[in-house]
Amino acid sequence: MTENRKLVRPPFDSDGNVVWTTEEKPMKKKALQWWVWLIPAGLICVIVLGVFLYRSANRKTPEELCRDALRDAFEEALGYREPMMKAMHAEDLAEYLKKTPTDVGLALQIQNTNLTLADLGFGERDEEGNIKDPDNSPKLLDYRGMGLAFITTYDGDAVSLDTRFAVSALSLSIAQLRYADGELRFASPKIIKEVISVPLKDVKDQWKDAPVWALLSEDTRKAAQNLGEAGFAYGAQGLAIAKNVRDAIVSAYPGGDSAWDRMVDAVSYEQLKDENGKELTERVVVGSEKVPCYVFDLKVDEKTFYDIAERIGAAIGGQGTAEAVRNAFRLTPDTDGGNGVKVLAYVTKEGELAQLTAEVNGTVGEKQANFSTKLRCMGTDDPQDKLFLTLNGDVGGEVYELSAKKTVTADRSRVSTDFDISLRAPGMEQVGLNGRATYNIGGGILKVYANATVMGKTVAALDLSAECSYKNSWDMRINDLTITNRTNDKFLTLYGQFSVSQSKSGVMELTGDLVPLLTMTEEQAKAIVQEATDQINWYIRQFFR
Amino acid sequence: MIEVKNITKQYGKKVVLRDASFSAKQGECVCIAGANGSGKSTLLKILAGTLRANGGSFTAFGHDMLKEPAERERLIGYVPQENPLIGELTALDNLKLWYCNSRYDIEQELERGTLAMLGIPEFLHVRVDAMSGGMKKRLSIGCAVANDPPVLILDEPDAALDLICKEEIRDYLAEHKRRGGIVLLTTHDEEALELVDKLMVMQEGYLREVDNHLRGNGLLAELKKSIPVD
Repeated sequence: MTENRKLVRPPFDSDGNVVWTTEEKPMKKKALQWWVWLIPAGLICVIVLGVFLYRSANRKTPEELCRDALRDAFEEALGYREPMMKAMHAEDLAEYLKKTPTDVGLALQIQNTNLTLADLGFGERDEEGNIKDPDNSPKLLDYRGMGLAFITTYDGDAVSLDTRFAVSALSLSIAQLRYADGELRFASPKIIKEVISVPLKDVKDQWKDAPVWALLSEDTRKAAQNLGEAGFAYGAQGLAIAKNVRDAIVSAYPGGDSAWDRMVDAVSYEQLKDENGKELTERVVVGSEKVPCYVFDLKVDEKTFYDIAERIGAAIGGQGTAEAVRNAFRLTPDTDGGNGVKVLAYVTKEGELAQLTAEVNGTVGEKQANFSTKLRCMGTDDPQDKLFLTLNGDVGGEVYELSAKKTVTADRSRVSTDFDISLRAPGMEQVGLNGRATYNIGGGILKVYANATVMGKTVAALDLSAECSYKNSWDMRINDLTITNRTNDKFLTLYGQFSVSQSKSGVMELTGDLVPLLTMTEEQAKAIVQEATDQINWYIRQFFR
Repeated sequence: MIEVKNITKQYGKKVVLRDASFSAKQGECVCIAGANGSGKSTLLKILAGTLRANGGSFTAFGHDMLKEPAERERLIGYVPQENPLIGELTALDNLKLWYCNSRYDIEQELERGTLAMLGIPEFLHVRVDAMSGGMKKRLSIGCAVANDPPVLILDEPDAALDLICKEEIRDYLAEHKRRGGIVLLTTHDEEALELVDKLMVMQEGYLREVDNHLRGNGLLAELKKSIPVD
């Protein structure tokens, strides 16, 4: 080592931090006074204008543009902007990119959990050029937390993934897409703020058309990190759930990989159509063709089930959900095959969750419990957004039913949501909530009509309007809140006006007044109070049972 | 310090790592020797976070490295066998990717910091495609230490390098140890063992410590020793 290379750097402390002993820290340079930037900023403006005029007059070839843009992008400090997401068909992507400059940067995150580095062509190769020991190649899922990014360009003819790949535990993974002619090109990541779904091609045949999510951002590295850290939170939430569930099964269940594969084979070539007969998926086969589909039907012991439940809960909704899943089912070790979980997820060609069904069998206390649920999402990125959720089951023969339906319609000026929720449980009558909420985009006006029902009869009706006003406060008006008894006699009407606003300190403030109008008789009031008391007592007993 | 406890890894029925355990204090270098395919790289990948273990724990400076990715990023630098570089870019462009979130200024690092010590300024504007193996390896190390992590994990850092390059890398690792850093590496090169304070031998997934002064036939004999049978 030559003397001028001698490193002058302080030691690490017991926490692994560098202990600075001098004032001359090798930190990034501090920002200069604002006026110091005037001169270079002016120069930069002149240069940028000059370059713009020069390029306008002397248009470069796409290759030159790409390389220049890449240099520019890497030379400048890469700022980060919050990315937005959008799912596209591959064909739409092609059309979209045809209309954009050639130096488009993409950061892609692979969402096919079974893909390995070897599948993408990475790994040590033998003399014949084949990848050594491909079966032990790490799965891309293992890199999920770090984010995978590809910097790419696209010339409008085809998107193909080049098999170059750089990966490290502490870095992003970078590869390039390649032009149809096979030439590699880099380009500057631009501010496009969209996420697109494109097919992976030019990889192993069976992975052809596996869905990936693409994130377009000016800073692919940071964006990819965020995308990875978000754990598929963006855009493809449903897909993420399915994948994480699969991950939980495989990692918690001995032999989960092979069980997984068997189950995947079991549902090959299923098809799912919506109510209008529109085909949502094509040959829903994991690992071989278009769309991933996950099915689990495991017979597990108690410990494994808890482990899986915890992971599924964490994957879906965090620790709270994990606890809920754990507490919901108290399993005894399975010796006769009575306990199990079966999950089936269909995913549309756009990568959205189209339908998720799950069946859970176990014991609650000493009672056998059987539950099934179905979740259907239709066009999550569509102006007409629909969501259907049903949960049916029984514990020791006592029936529970929950159904929820939400339909969103939107146009340029307003968004309307129709909702209908129904719940039935032992010891209580069927209750429901339905109505419509309309939000006027231009004026910031919200209107809500809702009805609460018991056994199909309306017992409460709400008519509320609100307007978003100055300083982010909402002026709300309850035009009518009417509660009726079972013979449809009104016994309470409430109306009034109030506002909800958030102060600078973040405290929510409620001001205004509400005018109650009692119309019930004393006997009615007593009956209502008694009934409410009985219901509350019933809930308390259920809770502590 | 770092502590690795009972790390296990299996692919299907094939067990690759069996309860691998060891520890290292600040300023120590641990070397894992073993035949090709014995599980060395698998262990390093797990410790670096690129592979998930089936069991076991790995703590560094009091943090759980298998469950705290942010701390892992702060505390661990990893240089895999395959250089994590982009061939079409120059050394500088590659470094900028890694240093854009680093607390260190790349110019100062090139002038009188780690990157200068690794000799990277000599080939700063050379495309990776056109670099020698030694240049690539030095650049890979330069990328991995962008955040100045106290724990360095290197998978055969001296493979296919010339003597001068090997010496430069060893000098850097020795300096890292002197600062209180921890080095964990695999190697087939006996010269690299000069740095080593703790020598581990990996055989078919079994990891055990041997005398770190072993060299030549003595070390060869350890590598050929019969392994325990389940």
